[in-house]
Amino acid sequence: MKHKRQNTVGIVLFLLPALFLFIVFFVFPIFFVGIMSLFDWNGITDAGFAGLQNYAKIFSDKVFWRSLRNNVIWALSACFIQVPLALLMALILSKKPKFWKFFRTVYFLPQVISGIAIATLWSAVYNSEFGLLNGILRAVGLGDQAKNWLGNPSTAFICVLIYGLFYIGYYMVIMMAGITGIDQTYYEAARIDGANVFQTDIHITIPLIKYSLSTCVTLAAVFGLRTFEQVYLLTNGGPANRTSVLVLYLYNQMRNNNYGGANASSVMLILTGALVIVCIRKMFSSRDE
Amino acid sequence: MNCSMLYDFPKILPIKLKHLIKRKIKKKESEKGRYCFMKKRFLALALTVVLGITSLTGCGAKEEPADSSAKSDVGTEEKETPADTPAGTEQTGSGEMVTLNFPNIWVGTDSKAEVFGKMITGFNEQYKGQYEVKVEEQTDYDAYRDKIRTLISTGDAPDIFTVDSMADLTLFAESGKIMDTTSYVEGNLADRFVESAIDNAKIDGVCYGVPYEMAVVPFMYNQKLLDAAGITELPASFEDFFDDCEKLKASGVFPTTQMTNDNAWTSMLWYSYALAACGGVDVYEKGLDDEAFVKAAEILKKMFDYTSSDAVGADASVVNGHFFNERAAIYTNGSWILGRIKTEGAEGLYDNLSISPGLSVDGKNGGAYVNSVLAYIVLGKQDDPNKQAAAEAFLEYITDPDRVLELSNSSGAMFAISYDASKITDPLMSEIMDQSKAAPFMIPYFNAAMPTAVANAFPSALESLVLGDVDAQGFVDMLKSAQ
Amino acid sequence: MVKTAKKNKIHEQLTPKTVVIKIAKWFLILFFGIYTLFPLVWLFVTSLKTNAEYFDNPFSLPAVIQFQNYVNAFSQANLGRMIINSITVSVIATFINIMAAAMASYAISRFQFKGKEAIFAMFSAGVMVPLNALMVPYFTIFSRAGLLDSLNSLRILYAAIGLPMSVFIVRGFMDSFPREIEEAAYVDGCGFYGRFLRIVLPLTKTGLVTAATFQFLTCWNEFVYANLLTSSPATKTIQIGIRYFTNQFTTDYVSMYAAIVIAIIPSIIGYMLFQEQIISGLTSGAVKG
Repeated sequence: MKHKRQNTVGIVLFLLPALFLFIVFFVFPIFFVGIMSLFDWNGITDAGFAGLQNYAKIFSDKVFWRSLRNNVIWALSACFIQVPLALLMALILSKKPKFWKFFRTVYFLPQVISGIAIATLWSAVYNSEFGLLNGILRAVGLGDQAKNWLGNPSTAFICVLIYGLFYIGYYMVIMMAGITGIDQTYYEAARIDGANVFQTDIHITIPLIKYSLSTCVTLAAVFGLRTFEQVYLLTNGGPANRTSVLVLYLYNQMRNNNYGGANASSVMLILTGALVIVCIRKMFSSRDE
Repeated sequence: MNCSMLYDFPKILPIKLKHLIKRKIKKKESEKGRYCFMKKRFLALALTVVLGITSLTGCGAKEEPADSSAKSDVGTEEKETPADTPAGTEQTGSGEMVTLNFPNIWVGTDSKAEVFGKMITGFNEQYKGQYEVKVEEQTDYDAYRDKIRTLISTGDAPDIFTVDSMADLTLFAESGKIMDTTSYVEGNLADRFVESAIDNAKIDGVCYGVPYEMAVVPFMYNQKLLDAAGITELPASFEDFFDDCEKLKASGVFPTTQMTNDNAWTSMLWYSYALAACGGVDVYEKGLDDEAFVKAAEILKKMFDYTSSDAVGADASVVNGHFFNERAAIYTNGSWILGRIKTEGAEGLYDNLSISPGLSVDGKNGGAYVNSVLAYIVLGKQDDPNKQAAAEAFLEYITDPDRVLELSNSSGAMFAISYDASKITDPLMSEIMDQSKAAPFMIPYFNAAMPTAVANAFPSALESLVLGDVDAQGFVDMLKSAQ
Repeated sequence: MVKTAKKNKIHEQLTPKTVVIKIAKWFLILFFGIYTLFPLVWLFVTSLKTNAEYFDNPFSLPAVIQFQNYVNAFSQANLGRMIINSITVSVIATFINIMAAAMASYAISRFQFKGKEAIFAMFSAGVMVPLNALMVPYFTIFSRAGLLDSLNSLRILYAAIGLPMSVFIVRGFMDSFPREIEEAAYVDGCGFYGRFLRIVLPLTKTGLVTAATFQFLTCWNEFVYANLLTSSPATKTIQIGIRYFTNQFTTDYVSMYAAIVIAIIPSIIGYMLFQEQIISGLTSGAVKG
């Protein structure tokens, strides 16, 4: 039955444009990166074969492991804090309360504003001399808690990470799109059965946007693993590499003209990401049946 | 509760849904003719998209950048767009216009932008019909650096560009894509440069980068704040300096300005001054094993006791904000910052500035100046003698002492070109000039003297030092391990 | 249009519980609203200050409103031309990207063929690729293709680099509607291409628009390759314009913020138009049936 519906020519034809772009701009360059990760290369002069030495070097580098750890924390908090918050707000806004269109646009704004502006704002908020955060603490009588948030080893990472978790617009938009795609008849039937709003949310909406949810979780994990701009602009990995992340680690190696190390880090980053994506996919599809 | 019933719900519903959709499809069945047409049109469109892209990038896909081999092959030649830079192949005879591309950082809001822009226009006027310099505006310095490195890596070195460090220049020189300007600068231009500037810029006896803009870095004091703290004369030694810091701290201002973000610029300059005092003129030649680096680190660490609470993690805008608004009393930066202090500093700040050279330690090595080449003009290697001549003409044009004087006066920047110092209009600038001429010795700042990786490791090593993760020796060890 | 949304109002009664829920709901809506509006408001206020005021205190109000900053931004940086360039680049790149992604997702999501999960996994792993590490390969590709310093290079590159993400999102949406719909269409004599055009595309409209929104923003905010691959003024995009006010040692922050405000206006308008599409698609499709 099924194969009758198949259209091999059609499938190939439809895959072609995407595959073509992907092969030219991902497969080949990554192949290049993979090969060059085995060379000792400064980006300019001839490269010398180095075997797995670049990998050995990054594995023995404390900063690499710290970066990886930071990325994992980042990915987990995005999955377990940011995405649930986005889901909550998507559920609320999809009930179309007053001004919902306005708020839907507003929540998305941080995605639209250039990262430079948001990062400069937050580094000013966290500043110990004129920062807003210390100002608020002093105003409410918690002045003794005031500190140099981004310069303090115990608070720097959490500060760099946390403010972005409340910018939920990105995932909310995906989930709202999922919710708007749900057929209204589900809800009509539920109402006839006397289900309240919570029940419909939990038993109808959430199961039906499973795919949007899995997309969001995967993206959150992936973005957590490849996060860069926020750290680069706020702390540049400091103080003393405590807020370093993998892409920044890689970027710094490029700036040191250590392309071998940078390429090895790229390979590790891609492998880690692929692993995480596969795991999340397995997780969501195993719940399927 | 009918939760369990609700839970089964989704499984039943698709049937309803199916009917619903079926109705919709039926409705549109009547438009079958249009559908056929659409099908065809869509196929055509898809094909155009696919083929269009194929023809555009086909060559790139075929030959992957396994190696940055020479110039374009025959296959790609015909597809060269006119917007691209003229091919580097033989330019036929004279009479044909030679165009040089110049990714230029002195544009936009840079203080040299206006006068330097005029210079380029002037050059293009003077050599009208013969040479033309085409400027590509580059404002973000990190992105500029990435671009230059990529261009050289792929064998497409620009005709003219600038480099800010000896380490990068050395690396680029190894690529073989950089023009050797030795005979030219030592011939026609020999008397234009300040003493030993060319010699210092040579790599293995060859001049690849022509020294142009200089960073001349004085100590800058806010005299008003010193007066308020009861400090009557500027310190001459680091011992006095810290006494004064104590007084300034007591008076309620931040004595020094420090930062650790980005390249830790301000603190890196302080460290350079501490190195001058601890190690003397040949401190960098002695290498990182010398104890001067440890001793200077102790001085730098002590400075962090006398600075704002936001110093760790602060970037240049924070540091400037403190000094410009009279929250901090002592500052250091290249002379180019004077223009900004005039326009953006607190009222009267510029007039309150006192300038001094470096300090001594244990009565030794006082009065030094920190001074480095900030921009080397680099020319890409040319196969075409016309292009080489054009590049050399441009070099001659922009090193003309009168033009450089105008550039200096308009921007506050200083140059490796010798010109009549008495014609400098800004009093503080000429004071800096006099002091640096009178200085017993000069050293470059730390970042300019070190390999790129060490310079890049400086900020995090400094943070470790200030946070107490490591001591001064540990700080130097961190720098060493980056080598 | 709005009628359907108001149906469930009949159920609502004012019990203490519903009041508490209402308060909690509005607390959340307003919290996220203020939190996300804060950067925009700050950005706008700061863009009307002088640099001296900004350095003195990043959170103060301007003593005199400096509209001059906007005049500076527009006239000095030649933003008009850059905005037009960015619009054409982003629109074309988004179109190519979404077409390619939709076609590929259709093939992957709705059909069984050998290696499809492998292809999808490959696409997904592309999300992890640190694009900054690919400057040398990408530059070489465009240099060999003779496309340097042309907007076409950016159009093609942007269409390609957004593919993993778009395929990922669009496939998620395509997976989420039941196979029965297509069965029905198949029975009615709808072929491979017909089902794509008449069933799958309309039904995944929300997903396509969502992916297109993100893709558009990726294009709009991309800077590294815009700077690397173009050189003449005619090919500069808006992100280069924003950075016009930085230089080696100093930044004219207030003018930069003015440029950022100018740069986000088109994307906010674009976003609102896109979102409106989702609503209209919904009301004309699912509800009226």
